[in-house]
Amino acid sequence: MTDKLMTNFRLIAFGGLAMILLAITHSAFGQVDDYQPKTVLRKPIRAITDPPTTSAHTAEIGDNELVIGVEVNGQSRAYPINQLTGPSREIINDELGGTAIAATW
Amino acid sequence: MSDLETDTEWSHLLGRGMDGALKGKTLTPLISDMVTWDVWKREYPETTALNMSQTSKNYSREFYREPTQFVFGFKAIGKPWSLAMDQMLKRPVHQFELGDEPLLATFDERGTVTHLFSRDIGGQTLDFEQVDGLTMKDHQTSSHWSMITGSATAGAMKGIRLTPHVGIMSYRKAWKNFHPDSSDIAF
Repeated sequence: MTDKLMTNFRLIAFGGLAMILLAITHSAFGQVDDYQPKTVLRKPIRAITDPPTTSAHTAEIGDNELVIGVEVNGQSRAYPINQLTGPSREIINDELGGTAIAATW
Repeated sequence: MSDLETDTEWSHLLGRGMDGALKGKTLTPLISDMVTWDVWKREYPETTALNMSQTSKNYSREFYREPTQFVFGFKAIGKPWSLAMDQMLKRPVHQFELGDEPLLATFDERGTVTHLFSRDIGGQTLDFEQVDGLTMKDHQTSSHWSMITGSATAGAMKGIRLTPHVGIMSYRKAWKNFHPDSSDIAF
């Protein structure tokens, strides 16, 4: 079961590197009683919402640069890794193909 | 991470609400690719792209410095598994079965990314080998397939696409921390 709550995320703790794209719908999952965050930031990093995007023709991205690419409902978007590696960029709240998504790093 | 609406704390590797009003909820992972920009543009010419300032110059160098640090993690038959990236580097087309599910992992050395597909096409299990670069062929029909998209590009299967599976590239240590019951795929 899922619901359609729209949610925006911000970074509050440092974790392991991983490329993940998440659709922002919530569904019931298993137990999380063993939650013990190791490092929580005193001041959360400001959330990135409504990020600027550009077309493939005008994008200033090198051909050899790595991107995370995703297609949702016929629309596609690339997230250059070289724009995601700092702590302030680890979460990009976005919308694609009518779906609220978050690119996290 | 936390969300602005309820201040619930989430694990961004698990995509799961860990503490707060949405504790126990999980976000749906999307299938995504990590590829070079020229490959992505070729596959999706109408794509848009994030347009923010750079925070680093060339991420892929990080991977090649120490590929043993990374795994491709995924879930199948109800539990987590990991594919060692240094092994994928040596064997870019790797076939295995989990339960009754025939799977195929491919590795794009230039994009430093693993893709995972089902090898089942309408009840028929296909076996693959790498032809060259990012092209593979199946033994049953000799059709040629893209190792990135899982689409048949030539032969009897042209136009057919293998079903992709969701997975993530992660530091080995982080994957194990979040999935202590994960098992390594044998090579």
